[in-house]
Amino acid sequence: MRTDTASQKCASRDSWIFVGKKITAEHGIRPDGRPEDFADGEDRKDVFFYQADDERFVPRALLLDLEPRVVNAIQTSRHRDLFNPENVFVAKEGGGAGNNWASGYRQAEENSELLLDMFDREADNSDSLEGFVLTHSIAGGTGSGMGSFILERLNDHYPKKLVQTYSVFPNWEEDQSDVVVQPYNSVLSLKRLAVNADCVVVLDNTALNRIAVDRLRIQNPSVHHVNSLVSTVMAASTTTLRYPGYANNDLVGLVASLVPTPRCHFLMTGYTPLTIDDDDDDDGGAKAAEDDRRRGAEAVPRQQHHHQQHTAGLAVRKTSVLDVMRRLTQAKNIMVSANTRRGVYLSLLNVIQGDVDPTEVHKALQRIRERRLVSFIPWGPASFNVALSRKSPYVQHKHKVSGLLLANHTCISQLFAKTVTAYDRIRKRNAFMENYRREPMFSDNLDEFDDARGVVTALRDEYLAAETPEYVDWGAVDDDDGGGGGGQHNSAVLD
Amino acid sequence: MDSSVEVRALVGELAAAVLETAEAPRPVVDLCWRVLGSRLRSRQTTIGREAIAARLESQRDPRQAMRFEELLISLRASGAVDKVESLVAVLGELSRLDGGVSVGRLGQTTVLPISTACLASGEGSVAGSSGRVVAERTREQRGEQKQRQQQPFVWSRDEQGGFVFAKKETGAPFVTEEAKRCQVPMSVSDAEARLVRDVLWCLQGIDGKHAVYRASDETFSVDRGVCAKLATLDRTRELCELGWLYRKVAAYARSERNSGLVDAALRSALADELGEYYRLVAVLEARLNRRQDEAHRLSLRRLAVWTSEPLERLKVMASVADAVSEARGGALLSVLDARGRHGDPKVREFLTALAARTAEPMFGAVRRWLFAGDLAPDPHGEFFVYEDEPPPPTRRKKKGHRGEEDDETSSATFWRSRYGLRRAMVPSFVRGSEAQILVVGKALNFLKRCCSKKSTTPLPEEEGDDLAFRYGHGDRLARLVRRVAAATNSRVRSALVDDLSLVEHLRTLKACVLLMQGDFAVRLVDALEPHLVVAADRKHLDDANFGSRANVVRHDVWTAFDAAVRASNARALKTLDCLRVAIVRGRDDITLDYDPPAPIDAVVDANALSIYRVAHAVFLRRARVEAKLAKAWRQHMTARRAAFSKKAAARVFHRTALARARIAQLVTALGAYCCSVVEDQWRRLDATVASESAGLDEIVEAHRQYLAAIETQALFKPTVGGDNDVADLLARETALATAMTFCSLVDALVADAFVAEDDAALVDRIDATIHDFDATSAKLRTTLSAASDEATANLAFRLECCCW
Repeated sequence: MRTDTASQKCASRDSWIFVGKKITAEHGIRPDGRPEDFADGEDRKDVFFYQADDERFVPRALLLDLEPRVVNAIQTSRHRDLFNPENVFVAKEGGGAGNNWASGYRQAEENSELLLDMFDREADNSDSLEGFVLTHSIAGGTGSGMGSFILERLNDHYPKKLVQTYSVFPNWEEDQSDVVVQPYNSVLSLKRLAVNADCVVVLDNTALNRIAVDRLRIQNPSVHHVNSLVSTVMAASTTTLRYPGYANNDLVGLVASLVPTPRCHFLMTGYTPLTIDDDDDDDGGAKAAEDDRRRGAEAVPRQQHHHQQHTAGLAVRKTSVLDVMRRLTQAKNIMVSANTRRGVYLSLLNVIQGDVDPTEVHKALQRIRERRLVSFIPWGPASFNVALSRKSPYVQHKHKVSGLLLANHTCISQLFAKTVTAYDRIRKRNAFMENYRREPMFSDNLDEFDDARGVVTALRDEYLAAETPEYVDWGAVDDDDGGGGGGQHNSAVLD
Repeated sequence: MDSSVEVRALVGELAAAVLETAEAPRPVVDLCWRVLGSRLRSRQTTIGREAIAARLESQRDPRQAMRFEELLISLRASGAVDKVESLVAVLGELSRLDGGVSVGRLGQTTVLPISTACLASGEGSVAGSSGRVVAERTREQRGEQKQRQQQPFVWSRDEQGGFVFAKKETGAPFVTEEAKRCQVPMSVSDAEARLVRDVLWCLQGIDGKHAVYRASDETFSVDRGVCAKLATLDRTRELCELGWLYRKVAAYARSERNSGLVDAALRSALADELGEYYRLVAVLEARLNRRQDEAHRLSLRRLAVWTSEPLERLKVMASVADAVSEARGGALLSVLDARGRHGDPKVREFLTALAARTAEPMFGAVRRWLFAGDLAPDPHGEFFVYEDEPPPPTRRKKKGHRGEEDDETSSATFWRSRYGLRRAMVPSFVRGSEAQILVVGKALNFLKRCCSKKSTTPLPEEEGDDLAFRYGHGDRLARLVRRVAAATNSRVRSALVDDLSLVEHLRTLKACVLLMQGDFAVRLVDALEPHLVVAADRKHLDDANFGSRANVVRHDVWTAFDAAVRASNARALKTLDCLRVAIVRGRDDITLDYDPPAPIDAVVDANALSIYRVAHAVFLRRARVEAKLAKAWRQHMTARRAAFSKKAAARVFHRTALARARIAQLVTALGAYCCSVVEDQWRRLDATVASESAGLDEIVEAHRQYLAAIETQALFKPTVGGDNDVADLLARETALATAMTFCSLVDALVADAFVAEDDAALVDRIDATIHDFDATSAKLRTTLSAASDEATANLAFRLECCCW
């Protein structure tokens, strides 16, 4: 039950390094893994790090990719000494997965022994392993394919360990601009996320871009900006683990309060007040935007320990608990491209960071309730939990109070619906199927596609059902729709 | 006391010898006694012993000289040496009297007291005449020594119990020619001269010839026969008031009562004031004796002028002497202080000076207490601070059995009841600061004895400090006390907080005992769960005499606790050594105990520890339920991947999942609420402890309130007459118990699911448990919404957050 969490990553561009940077800074760990002289506080570095023989803190992280570009960038960055080189896996071919879920899945399967070895080593290294955190995207080839394979294997290998993922959902607004086959990849990945993961934190690219444009006033948000947002959310969502307070200080405790029924485990996030981490403090807005894409890939080694936060286009404002909690109920601060006005909350957790008077939380809760700013499920007690967490003492914060929202909202079904719609559009024509047919999984038939679609629709239906009071009898009413207890399992769907 | 009795006896003997009776009448002896005790140095007192001896020798009367020596030695031996001067004089006269030589040369002034003693013998109205007769007889006796053998008169008692010198045969009072002459009105000036002389006697508290002190109504009565003029008599009487006042003051100043330093200081001050008065009387007497012409002769009117100012003064003194007769120590000073608020500036000035002298011992005591924490021996209980010495430690206490009985020696007891205030003894000019004064000295002693620190507080000098310990500068004293109190309080605070890490102790108590360190709680429950199960099992096994396993459990439990500490952030806490794991016998509960070291237990006393213990038990139970619920969640998540043979099983799972969420919500909300209560209270406590001005009293009180708030708000300790709270408690207990049952049923359900078995009975039990829980939580909600106080309202709100 201990909160040692092995994290691993599957080539989700480079968000990991940002999280890595942020978390190391928050723990007062230098880029080379040595603790700062002042870093001897009440934080728990051992959640995501272990100490090497020379006192260096080494993250319990695996860097897995099928192409060397991102991993190389990390290995030339100023954090190059942070990671254990044994924990870096790059496929020998180095050609990547070519945006093909099946290719990523196959390549992972081919290297399964090596991969599982790495997992086992890190797992054995942990005093008491609680679970795994996986960071990946679902639209590409590597993150989705390899990630899916790893999810399945982790379930087999560590049936009692929790698996949490931070999954980047593709940008549906720039429809098929990036990758035409992303609906295929997404559906195939979503099935694994539904079946094999215990908790999925949805990082919606559409919403992240929107927030970068609308909230941070960045004209053309780059990968760097989006990743900065992602790292902020990821770091914030683990603060209760890393700075243990009264509640939510283990992964199970954190997730259990958010996931009332096993299948409804897709969480959306929100954060306020938003700032962008900027490594180059003298960068102006426009120049930064130009340089960002390049720098995102090849983070320049720097000798700067403290993070400067710069608020892109926004002045530092007064923050209070009520203010933060109220903002977290507003759609514009929520990082999901679904309409949160429709649907209800299954559960809601606000992680408030900063020096906060507990009575303020109470007052804020009362106010939010009076204003009916959030609506909850009709069939049972929905939880509105507030976790208070300290801010990292090692980083300078511009705002007194900041807040993270982790919520289980039925509007997430809109994302599934969108995915299924996009999938149906190209599946109808069996477009771009050649690449998939070439892979062993689809050499015989395309059943896996239909199966995955079934799981995703079942998931959508369950979320929609959760909006109604009849959800109490959810398993009883439907027989064939893949809902209920058996619905989440592919065999049940195929029946 | 003995010596004075002896001397008295001796004087009686002498007087008897002089009067040549078997036994001298008591009035005579009393009078002699008064004369001897008088502080008034009459002319005769200057006659030295040598002079008398020389004179006796020159008269070649070895018998007289021998007798004189004899008397002198015996008087000396009796210890009355301080009055040797007057004694010598008296003895000289007496020995000469005895010899019967040159009686006529005796100074009238010396004999007069003896003669007037006879005057005092009469107590009724007849005393005047009979006494005078006696006096005349005495004077006559001087002239007619030789006839004494044939004296037909004897001393006898009259009806009133007084002594009369009357004819043996007839009992008719002895009346001489002279006495008869006396009854004839004298000339006015002559009478006045006599009265002036009498008044001077009266001023010394001694009876005059015509003005006599009557003890019965405490006045000097003037013989009306001496003067026809009523005005003169009245004036005499008025002047005699001075004597009456003098008697009062002198009686107080010389009284032998032993009631402490303050009283002694007042008496000494009064005696000094009387010294002035004596000087005045001496001057007057000198004037009287200087035979002056008519114009400058001392008249009653002049006397009145002379004595008008001392009269005022004596009046004040007498009133003071009256007022303080029952008081002592601080109370006496209060009386004096109250009288000092007089409208007349002169009186005020006089009384202020008097009070200043009287207050000296008190200020001395305050100063010692304030700066060194010393208490002078105070047998009369004069100082307003007292120390309650604890009974000598007895060995009956058993080691390792800490608890209420151990409290006797704890710092808490020291702080709470070692020193106290005598409210009655707080002088009015200190009032308002006495509590601070008590705290300062107490704190100094606390530092000395409990924290092993030196017990003086260096204080920056400030203008007016030197005046603080003088009477009449109450504001200065108050200011000084405030400063000293602030300095001492901050020393105690810093000793506790900085040197003895009080905050660390409190933080450890909060984190570990109140389980506010969440990760520690989780790990503790994790580590203890097997042992708790064992403990519960042993409860059943105990019936079969398996009780001896307790020690093994204790050891295991300790290891488990240690592991929990190491695996959590609790390891960063600095005072973990004080934590102990204890197995509560009889209840088979495992609990965390805290052992605060010596001075810390002044704050964390036995009472506080018992509250901590209760809170720990309640919070630990909830933490266990939370852990079980998390485990149940895990099982649900795992089980969903298992293939279910039947849809019915899936439905049960769905139902239990929803029920689990409900239960978890209730427990989480309860936990969040308790946490917010504790954290809120902690902020207050922390603020108090951190504030520079807080003394130990404030810290103890803040900690007490902290615990009281936790007790009422987080533990729902039933308030007086609060049935709701009890019901609430019960509801909560059942809710938690149901949750426990539910969790174990989920265990069984999941196990069944994996072996693909269907157990209808189990499903029924689960449904029943869910139903139970829903009923209980509904009841809890109604109870809470009906409750009126803030704490339950807050909890009700928290629970409502679950069902928006």
